[in-house]
Amino acid sequence: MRGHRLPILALLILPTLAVTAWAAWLAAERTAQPALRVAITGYDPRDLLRGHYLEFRLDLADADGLACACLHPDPATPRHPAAVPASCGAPPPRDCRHFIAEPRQVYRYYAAEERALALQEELAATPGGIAVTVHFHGDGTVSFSNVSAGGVAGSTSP
Amino acid sequence: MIDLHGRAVRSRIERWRDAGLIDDETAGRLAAFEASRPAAGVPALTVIGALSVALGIVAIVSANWDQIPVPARLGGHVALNLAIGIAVWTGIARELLILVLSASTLGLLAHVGQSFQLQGGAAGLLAGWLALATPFTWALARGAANRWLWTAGLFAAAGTAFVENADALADAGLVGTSIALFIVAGYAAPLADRGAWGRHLHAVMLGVLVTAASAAQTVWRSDFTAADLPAGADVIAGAACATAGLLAVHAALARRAPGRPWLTAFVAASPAYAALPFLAGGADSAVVAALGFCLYWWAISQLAHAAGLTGLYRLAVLAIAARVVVVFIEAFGGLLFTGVGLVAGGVLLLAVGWLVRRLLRNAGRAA
Repeated sequence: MRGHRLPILALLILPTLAVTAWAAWLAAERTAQPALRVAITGYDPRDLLRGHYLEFRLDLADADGLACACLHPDPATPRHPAAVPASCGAPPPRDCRHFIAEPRQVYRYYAAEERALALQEELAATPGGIAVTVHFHGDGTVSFSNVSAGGVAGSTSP
Repeated sequence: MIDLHGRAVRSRIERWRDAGLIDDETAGRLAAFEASRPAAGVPALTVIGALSVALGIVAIVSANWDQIPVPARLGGHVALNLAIGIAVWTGIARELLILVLSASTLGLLAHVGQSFQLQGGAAGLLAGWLALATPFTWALARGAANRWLWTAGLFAAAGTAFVENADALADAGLVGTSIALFIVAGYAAPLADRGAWGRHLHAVMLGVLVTAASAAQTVWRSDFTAADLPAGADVIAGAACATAGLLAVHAALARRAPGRPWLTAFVAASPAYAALPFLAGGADSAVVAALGFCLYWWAISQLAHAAGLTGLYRLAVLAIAARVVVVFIEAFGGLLFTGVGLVAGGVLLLAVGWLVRRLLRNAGRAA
């Protein structure tokens, strides 16, 4: 058993180290990924919150029915980028920095209880609604940060 | 501190001495022995105090969750996981801490997903947890709690993956086949692991097979024809895949130890027995559904009797008895509150009770 002590320690420690490495990779990727501020609408317009989660869709008027799209920032309509159809199977074109699959799907955003209630009030008090920073991973998947009424319009990517 | 425990022990010793059960000398020795032991209240207070501190820390962290930066939150969780892992390594409360490490690893994965607002589903989360927790759980855990937590995780991962891909599987006609492959893969576990984990998964999948075949008999109550079932080919493919896979597993296991032909026949026939009500079309009959169930469990009782498995035999007899009572209630439920219904119900319960007692007594004698 004594000879197996180190492999056992590795068995117990490596899973945690693997998750740590994954989290570090996600953090590093996030700074390099292109991002856009996009307005959101509640999945249920009367009620954005589901427990600690906001359930929402990206407010992209021309994305209905699109399987995949390229989002292009439009200075005329900040926080409402134009959605241009794109092929899901092939790699996105070079000029498509904001590639997204199923752009009108319902997304979830975790918020702590107090923050979630504040967001609900912000949504009710802000005529233009609230927006989220969308981080584009390049393969059609996205993640989010900074749901709020304010924020920089248009591209926030490096 | 008031020594309630010591006072109670001294009082008891005095009562024994006054009743003449022990002499003065023995009473003195007992009192001295009890006085030399640490007070029982101290460990309990230590545990309560430690729990209180832990709960307080959890409460403070929870109340300020949003104010704590993500790196600090994740760093704290990683440090906690590493500390638990090292504690397991040193051998402290190994089974309990493996359970905690397993749950905390699942929490850490969810924590990362929450921190980066990833949009993955539950299936991915649980599959990731299985990939991370399986090596240390299988290698180190020996207790039932860890075995069943892991098994629950396996079924939750498979179930969520199935639900998330249900439409695609149905379109491809692979619903039955995917379920069959899952059962056969678990049933074949002893071929890969001859130890407790292999036997555990094998038994669990046998339980799943029996439960599925038993539950499928309720379909006889439905009112549909085979032509109404658009996925008939899917059901046939699933049953055929399961039968072939289970027979192959039994053939492989028989190379190690002599097989039991009747058990092999029962296991191999179970998928077809489960598929039968779907393929034949519902009979719209509660009695046929009960007969299908009772016939299946009668076969189980005979196998258990032949193998000398008294516990399983008792379970089979009780399952049949319960099903007979249920079908009576289903068929004559409206009459139960009339005089005739009460008399008939009572007579049935007495007859079932007498028959069950007799069968179980005979089984006990045979064992």
